[in-house]
Amino acid sequence: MGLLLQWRDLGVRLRGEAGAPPVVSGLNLDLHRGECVALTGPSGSGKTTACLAPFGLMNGRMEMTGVARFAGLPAWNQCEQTGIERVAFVLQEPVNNFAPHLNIISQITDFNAYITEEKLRKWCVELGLDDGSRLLRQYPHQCSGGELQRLALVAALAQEPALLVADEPTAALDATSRDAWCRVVRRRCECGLAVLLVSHDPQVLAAVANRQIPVGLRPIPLADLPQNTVEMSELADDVLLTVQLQDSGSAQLPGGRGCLTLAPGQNLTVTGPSGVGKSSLLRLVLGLPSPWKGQVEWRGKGLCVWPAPSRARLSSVMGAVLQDGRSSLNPQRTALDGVSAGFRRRGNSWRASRHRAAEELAALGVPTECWPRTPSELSVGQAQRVALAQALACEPALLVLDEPTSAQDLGHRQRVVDRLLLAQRQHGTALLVATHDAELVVALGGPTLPLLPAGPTPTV
Amino acid sequence: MTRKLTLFVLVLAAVGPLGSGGDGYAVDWAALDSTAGALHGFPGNHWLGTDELGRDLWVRLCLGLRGSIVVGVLALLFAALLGTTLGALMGVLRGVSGGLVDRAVEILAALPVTVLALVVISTGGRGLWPVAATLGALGAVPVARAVRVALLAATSAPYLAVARIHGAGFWEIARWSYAPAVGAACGTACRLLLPQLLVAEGLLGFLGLSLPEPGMTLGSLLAEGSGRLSHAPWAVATPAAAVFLLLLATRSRA
Amino acid sequence: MAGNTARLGSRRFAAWSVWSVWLMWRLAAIPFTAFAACGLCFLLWHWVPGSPFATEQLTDPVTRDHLAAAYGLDRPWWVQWFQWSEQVCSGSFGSSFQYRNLPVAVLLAQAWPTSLLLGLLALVVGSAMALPSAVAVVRKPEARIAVFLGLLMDSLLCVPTFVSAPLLLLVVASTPFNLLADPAAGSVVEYGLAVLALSLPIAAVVFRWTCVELRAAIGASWWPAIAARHLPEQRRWWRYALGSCIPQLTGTLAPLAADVLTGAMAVETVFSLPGLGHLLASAARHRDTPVMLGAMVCVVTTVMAVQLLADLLPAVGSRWRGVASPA
Repeated sequence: MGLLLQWRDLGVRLRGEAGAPPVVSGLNLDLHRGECVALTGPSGSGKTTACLAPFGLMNGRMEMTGVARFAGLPAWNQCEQTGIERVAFVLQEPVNNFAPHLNIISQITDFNAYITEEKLRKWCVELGLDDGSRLLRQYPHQCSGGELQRLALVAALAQEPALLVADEPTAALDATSRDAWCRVVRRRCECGLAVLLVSHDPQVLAAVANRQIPVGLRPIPLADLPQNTVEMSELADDVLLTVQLQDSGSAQLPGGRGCLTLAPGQNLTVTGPSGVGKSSLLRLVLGLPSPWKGQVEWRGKGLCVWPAPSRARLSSVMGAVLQDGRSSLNPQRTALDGVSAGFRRRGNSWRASRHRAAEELAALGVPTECWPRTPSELSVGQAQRVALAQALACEPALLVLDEPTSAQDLGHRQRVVDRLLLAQRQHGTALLVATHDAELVVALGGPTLPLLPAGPTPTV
Repeated sequence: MTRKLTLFVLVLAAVGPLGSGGDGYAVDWAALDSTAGALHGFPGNHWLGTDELGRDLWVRLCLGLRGSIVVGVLALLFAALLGTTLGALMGVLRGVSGGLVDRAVEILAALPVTVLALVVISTGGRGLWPVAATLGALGAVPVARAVRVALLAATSAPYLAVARIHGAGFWEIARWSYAPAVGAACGTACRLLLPQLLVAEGLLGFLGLSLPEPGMTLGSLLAEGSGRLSHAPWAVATPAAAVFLLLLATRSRA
Repeated sequence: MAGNTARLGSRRFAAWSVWSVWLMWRLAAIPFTAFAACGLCFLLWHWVPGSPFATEQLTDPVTRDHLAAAYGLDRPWWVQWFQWSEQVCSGSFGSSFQYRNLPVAVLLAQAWPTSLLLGLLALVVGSAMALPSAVAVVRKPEARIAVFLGLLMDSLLCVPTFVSAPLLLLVVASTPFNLLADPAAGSVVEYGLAVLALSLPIAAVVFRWTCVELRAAIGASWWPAIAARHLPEQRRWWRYALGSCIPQLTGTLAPLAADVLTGAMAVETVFSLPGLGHLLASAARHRDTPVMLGAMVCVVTTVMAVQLLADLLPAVGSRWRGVASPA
């Protein structure tokens, strides 16, 4: 049994971000013919990057470290060499498997002129597509996602590959199609095809995979997160913020509640799986366009969406940090400038506000050489901390933070948490934080609000 | 490289006419149509020979270069001013008035530049200010479009929303978001526009519709020279080379 | 299954009706814009002092006024515009001031097809030069041929038509085989030189835009799948990369095509071709109003027809609908 794919200490990082944590690291793999290996792990753990980067298919900013060999030669220029062994790919988005301006059968016959339509139709029928001849003549945008995903497998098999790399290939398929898919791939494996699979679907993993390799951090199941949820029944005398939800999209609050309140000095952490709507809730509170609809009240007075005068009157009582740290910063202003502008708005003199801005940035661990830099010259983590300093400079009564520690490593995360808790103690700042980072939830303490998607809970 | 070329071209336009001892305007009866070759007469008189009226060709070349540059730069200034105003209006006005301004600019943009310039100049007469104003008015369209796009992008940027939440007033936002966006868009559009304006001006000069006598531009020099193609090839090659150098100096890298 | 076909059929009918309404709207806009542009000309004519008879050696103001009255130039601009529009709607563009009593329609009938043919040939030749160069440059940016081609095309941008036309004539006239002197082959060679002169700046612009679009196609989300397939390199780049850019390219290059098809004034003047550009230039010099207006109408119609064709491309066949959408 020949050794086809070999990884030794494979890692991928972003070019130029030497200090930031790598996208994925330390992977080892030995894949033989006829074997099927599955990569599993939580979303964002770098499984797709690990599969595609060795073959040079990720965008130019990704850099590979370690060794990856395919059929004895470096995997990097596999597509350019005219070797006998081929690799076929089924990419995650079904639409990205085909060029949009040519129909499917002409794309398939382009790289394999000897394949007959009979054979393609037969494969389509095996996968559950009955109207093969019509589908093959369509353009990619005319097919549905499920059809495209199966056609992508047909196209991959038509290349007669030695290795098939499939990234979430059953995400758009229903149960019968998925079983048909597994059967086809299982049969091919027995005939000698090697398969590298990325999937989170346990049925597919059970049916097809010989081995599983976990990638990324060990996922913390939702059930293990601290569950001291907010007690809505106790009415505090001094309520800062009240949100009455009317339309919460595809999420539901625990217990089917429709309203949440926040008192001064209190903090509330919103958790939930990705895509459930944590950012949408925060945008509703901030008055930005959001898919969620509801009434927001500040100390009893109603607030509308920007640019309403009710919001403008409340200048600098809220501080905000959006999910992508850089997008909260003005690209023209240097870090020190942006933070000292916040202090100046409070009425401090120019010199005093610069002094305080320097103190704030130092407290958050932003090095001195970064202060005169613009946001595009900072790393993602540094930009996130500068955005936080900017929000704190307004001395707000409420801080709304969206994933404030997503790009921070351990040391800086601790600084951020310390600074937030200090603000809470000294100024009575209320905190509304959305995060999926379990350790931040634990460090902040305080009540959590776990958002659940409406409908059956997904497996992690 | 481009900067050195620009400097060379500007120096040539400024002090070139002082060399070569002859006069670009007056008729020199003693040296009619002297077809001097490459370096004949250098460093004396008539570096490039004379035309059929005895006027020195080198001096005329440098004067023509000067004329082209002056008209081109004036037209660019007009275009920048008018385009920024129009673009700011288009970006800020909404509703009926905004729609009207949009439609007017679209109709103007649908028609070819040179044709419109021809029409307007043939009615407005020739002269430095009408020519520069016309070219500027027509060149304002791409500038207006670029400024409008930049303003729309700037107003919908997320950091603007965050700045407003943090209490930034209108003037602070205008100084730090709108002004840089508009300035950058105007700058890029003008950088791409300058060569086009120079070409349009050259074409008008070639057709005899640019600066009236005694002013001259490279286009009118080329027109004169193509009439004497067979026995005085220098009269075409040198203005052509000057146009090439001028455009090379103003091209921006793709 | 039958229900499926019926639904498909009704969807197709709905799509067709949307497209035909849009097409009729665009076709109706053409004469409207043409008249608006000519109205602008009349306005300018009225505001600025000067008349078509300024070049005449008439010093007698009485005679000049009589002539002006005879041609209707002393009435307000909207009256003149209305009269001219009436005249056009009844089928005649009037007579030229320059060539007395020669109908403008005759001049236009000769000039318009000449310009169209010249422009079309120049577009074809220019694209034939530019497209392979762009593919070569984007495929291997560091190769020496790519650097050379890039520099060449960049410098072609600096050679406008009023420079390249006389230069080409000069170059050919100074070669030992002066083909231009030969009566039989001379006119063919001259026409070929005219096409070449016009095509050089076209090649440069098409090259630049094609490079931009190709780089965008390579950055698209579906390119990794195509890059990973075992295809011959030529096919990968021409059929897939260049093939997917065609709608955007035609949209961006439509104004250039319109510019070229409506008369390249410099080339026509140098090579003495009786085209629309030459007509416009001489009409401007002599302030020949009817010819100017007639030529403007032709120009506007050509421009809008080209724009319409470029916008129609996404509607032709469903292959482009995945890539572009109707304006």
